[in-house]
Amino acid sequence: MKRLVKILLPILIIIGWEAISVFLIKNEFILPRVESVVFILMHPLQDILGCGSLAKSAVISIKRVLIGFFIAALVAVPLGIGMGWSEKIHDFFYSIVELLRPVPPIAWIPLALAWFKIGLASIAFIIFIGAFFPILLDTIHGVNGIRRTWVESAYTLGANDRLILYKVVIPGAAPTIWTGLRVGFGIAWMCVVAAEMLPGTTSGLGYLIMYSYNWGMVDTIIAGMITIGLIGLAMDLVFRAVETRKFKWRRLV
Amino acid sequence: MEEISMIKMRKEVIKFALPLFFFSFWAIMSLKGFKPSLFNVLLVLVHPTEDIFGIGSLVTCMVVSLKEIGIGYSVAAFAGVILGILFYYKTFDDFFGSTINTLRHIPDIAWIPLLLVWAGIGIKSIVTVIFLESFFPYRDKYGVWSKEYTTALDRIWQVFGC
Repeated sequence: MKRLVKILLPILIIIGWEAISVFLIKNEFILPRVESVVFILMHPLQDILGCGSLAKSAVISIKRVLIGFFIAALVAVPLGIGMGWSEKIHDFFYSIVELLRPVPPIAWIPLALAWFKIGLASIAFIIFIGAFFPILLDTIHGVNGIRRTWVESAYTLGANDRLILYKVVIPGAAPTIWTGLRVGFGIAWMCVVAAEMLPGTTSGLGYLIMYSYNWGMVDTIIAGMITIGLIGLAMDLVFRAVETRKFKWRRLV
Repeated sequence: MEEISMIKMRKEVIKFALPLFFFSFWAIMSLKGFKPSLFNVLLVLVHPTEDIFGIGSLVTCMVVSLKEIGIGYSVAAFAGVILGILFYYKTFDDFFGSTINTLRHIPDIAWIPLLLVWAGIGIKSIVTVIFLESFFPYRDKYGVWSKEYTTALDRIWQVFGC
């Protein structure tokens, strides 16, 4: 019964969509039929309007997001650990972080284009900006949240600062850092779609849906959106699975 | 006492060192022809009512954006809070939960082409994007609230025989 209730709304949406498309709107350029979208989704290797297939576009977008995300993680995690651990490092970087943090990643697009021109570098920069701040803030939060008793116990047992950092602080903050990485990846995925919609980009899922918009192919737009959503969902599930498996101990503390 | 004030002063100096370095570096680079020039940026900021390329001033653009945010955000806050509270009911959660959780993985920006087709270029599509951007955090927050707090409150009511 519970499972039925759960799938009832998606079923109703699909029926409603098909009914509105066939009986009310009757225009594939405004609302395509469900089967047109399903057909595109079932043939992910088929070329769309000469700009590559759905699968190829997805692979390009994933590659781009991974580059930007890894650079962001490589910078944000050590910096966040430093800011959380040392008051001096925190004070030094705090004002500039607070100054730049409220600027939405999309607002960096014109500047990224001016500095890095159209291409992978500007897209990676926007993804970097998008993922950097959530990862940094969660890392700082994770390190700050380490229990004083853990650190003091380690000191009592004779550990030095370096040992405490590696054996207590980083493992203790790891679950929160991981949450930051998960949130950061979600934003990075949003940023790649936004960056690919820019004029001058010639590949990726964002480009595919914008290109389809220019050609009035709403079925491809919806198929592209579903693909973007499914990839986002899959990535989130991977992050959550690791979280559940590796950081189960957090619930016990 | 003097030592404390010295420590406080040193702390303040450390806080402003990086922004100061950042803006000084930007100013030097601007003098060497780097774009955007810090001086041009400051010029725009100190003349916020001056027209920019005939598209309106900084203030006009800000008012337009705030108006759009105001509409989209109010609708999202209202719908998000109501839906979030309704998520307390298990059947409601089961019915809407899976669909909303799937939809939230589509970035708001990806809705733009579809919204342009359906709502056209204009305030309607802009407000809808703002609505999508603000709706999910509200729904999540109040959904969690209604589940966590109401479970505790439920027990209290039950103790009193409600």
